[in-house]
Amino acid sequence: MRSYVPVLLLILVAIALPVVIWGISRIVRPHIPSASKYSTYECGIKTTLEAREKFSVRYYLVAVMFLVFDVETVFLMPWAIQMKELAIFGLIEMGIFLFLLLFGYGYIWSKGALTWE
Amino acid sequence: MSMSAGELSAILPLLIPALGACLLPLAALDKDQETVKWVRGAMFFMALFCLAGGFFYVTRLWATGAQPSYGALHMDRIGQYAGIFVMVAAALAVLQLWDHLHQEGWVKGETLSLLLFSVVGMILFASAGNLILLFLGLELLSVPLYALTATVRLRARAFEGGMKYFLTGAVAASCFLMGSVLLYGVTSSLDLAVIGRALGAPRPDPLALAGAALVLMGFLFKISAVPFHQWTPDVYEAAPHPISGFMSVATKGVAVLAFMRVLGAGVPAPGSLRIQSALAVVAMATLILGNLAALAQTNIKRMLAYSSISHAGYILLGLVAGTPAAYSGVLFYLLAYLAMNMGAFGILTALGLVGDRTTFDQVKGLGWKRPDLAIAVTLCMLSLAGIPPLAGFYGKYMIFKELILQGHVSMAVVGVLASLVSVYYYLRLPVALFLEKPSEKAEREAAERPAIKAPLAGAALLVCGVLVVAMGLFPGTVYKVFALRVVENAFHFVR
Amino acid sequence: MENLLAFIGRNMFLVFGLMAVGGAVALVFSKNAVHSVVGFLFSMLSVAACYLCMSAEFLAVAQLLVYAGGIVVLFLFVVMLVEMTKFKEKGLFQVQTPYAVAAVILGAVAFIGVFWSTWFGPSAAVPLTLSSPELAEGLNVASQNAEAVSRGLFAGYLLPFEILSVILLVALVGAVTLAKKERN
Repeated sequence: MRSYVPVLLLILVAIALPVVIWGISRIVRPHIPSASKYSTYECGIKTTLEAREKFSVRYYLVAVMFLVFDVETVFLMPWAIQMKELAIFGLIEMGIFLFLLLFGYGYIWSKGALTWE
Repeated sequence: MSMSAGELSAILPLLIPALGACLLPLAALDKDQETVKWVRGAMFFMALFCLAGGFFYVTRLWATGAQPSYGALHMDRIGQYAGIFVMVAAALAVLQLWDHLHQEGWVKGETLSLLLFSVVGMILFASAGNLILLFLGLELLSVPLYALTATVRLRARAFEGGMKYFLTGAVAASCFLMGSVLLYGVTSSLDLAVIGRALGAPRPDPLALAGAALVLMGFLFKISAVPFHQWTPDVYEAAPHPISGFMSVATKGVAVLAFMRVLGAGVPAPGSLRIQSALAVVAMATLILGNLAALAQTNIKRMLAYSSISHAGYILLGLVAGTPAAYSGVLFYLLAYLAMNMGAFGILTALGLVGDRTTFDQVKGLGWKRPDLAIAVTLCMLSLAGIPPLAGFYGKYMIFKELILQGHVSMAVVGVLASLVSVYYYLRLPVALFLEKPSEKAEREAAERPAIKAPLAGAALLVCGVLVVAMGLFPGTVYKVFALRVVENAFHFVR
Repeated sequence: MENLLAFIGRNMFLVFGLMAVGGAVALVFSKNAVHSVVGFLFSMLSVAACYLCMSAEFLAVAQLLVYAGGIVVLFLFVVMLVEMTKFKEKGLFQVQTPYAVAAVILGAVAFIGVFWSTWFGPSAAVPLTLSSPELAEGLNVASQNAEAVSRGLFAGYLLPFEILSVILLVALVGAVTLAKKERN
């Protein structure tokens, strides 16, 4: 676990830096609120509609497919670490795993789930 | 490392349907989404071919007495029984699916592929000897069923049912997983036999008992026992009829088989009073609630769903009795239940009633148009009610006999009373088919619509009717050939 | 030095655990749906750090990749799809709050009861390691965690590994079957 201490330091710095910057700027800057300053910015024009629009379900399908291949990646990792020791036998096992998922990839590609329209 | 022949023969019952399931989507690659007729026929033929291949392989294993295993996958008698059971159910479902999907207008190859994947998961679930394979089998059998429930996307009801099944099923699976984690944490082992020994100790760890209780809850969800039965009516109503039939028969059967294996390994200790009383309470509640709720239904599929809940109650009563003869009785009951329920769900497709048109009003008078199918479904209904000399009667008789011999007379009495009550709602269907006249509106609509032919579904229904009668006329042969052999080889009873 | 690091490691687990609980509290109680998701993300990152404190490297990486990388994205997409803010304003999700609180209290009491009896019970708390000798021989499980996991995965648990890929395939087929818009 020694090798992860730098990661912890990095995270602490990454959290501390914005907090410090934001805190200092909060203390130092003037605070003169007005109504027009708090309204939404739209290149100087007055806003008419809400910023939200209809969200299509294609994003969700892309996210679900991403998740499946993400889990596949997670299982690629232990194989990659032990690749030399597992030799040809590990390659065959991993090959079966990847082949089944390649099959799934081919299926979704041919169904057109990877194109946007 | 290479696999020995024995190990390969253990996985082969899984590989054959999986191969079919992987190849089937290839047929659905038609860009136009409405595949040509011969491609559709080839898809169904391939699905049936894979199921038949798997079936023949497993029966060959059964006949030669081989019980191979691969690691923790035990293709012993329980696994082979599950293989035969699930593949027959799936074959009947595929036959009915041809007509059903054509009537709904939504013929897709993915439906068959998902069905075959579910078959693989079911056989895996019943053959699993350690907690990981159990959980993986549970997920592999459930996820295709979630998608299959919602597969006919033309109906909003289907999505709703699929969503309900998915959410409740995910909660049950996570319960199961939490229980497995607790069991592993206490015993440092995933193997069922080792966990059973640890739980059989004089003072088992309370954490392990909690884990076993959670695993039990996962099983009870799949068996549709009270209070985990809430999903059943909505899901069966929403799913296509053959899929409902397949779910009601195969998931329940496989869950019972896996539960028997888990109980037989000693998880939790079957001799203890706790598990017996817990199961008894659940079985009583399931029987009572299933039968009472089925009385009030106007929709045939919901009635059948509640009836399948009540049958789960009878099966659990058999598990409460706990002797080898009771387990054999439960296995015979499952076989009879396969034929009866697939027939009961099949009548709707065979008469051309798809989607939401499944109320009792819709079937009035249709019995005279197709008398052969109506007689077959009447036999199935009478068998479900437990009327001799049909198969259902013998199944219930074996279970009640064992209960009385073990001294649980009150439970047997409740079971018999529940059977008597159930006769009313089972007879409603034949009465509506034969003795009631259709309303004028229905007659006009039927005259306008072209006659619906459902040859394969009708054939499947006739096969079910014949099986019901055959098992009723020769119960002893079926019992000896199938049920008794499983119990002899597979269980070590702690009594 | 090793003792010091071990001490820090044990206490960091407590810190990260509390951060995970804080993230979960933010998930449940914040008024804005996107704030809830950020709380969830924070909770998942803290849990990954907890795994690291217990020397489970593979699990930490898997948690980061799958949960913080995939599941949080799915949550965000659902928040965007459903426009949760409308529901929160109308208070449609607040109906079950008393039942939920009661269920959580009941569950917490049951859990604490079971753990209490185990803590002070007859079976000692044995730290769990990859103890089966045939799976992890020659490896220090703590410092070579991913190697030990891969050895288990490809030697002892090969069938579950392949079944896993079948389940992923089924998930793909099912998702495309349900969510892909039909052409006509």
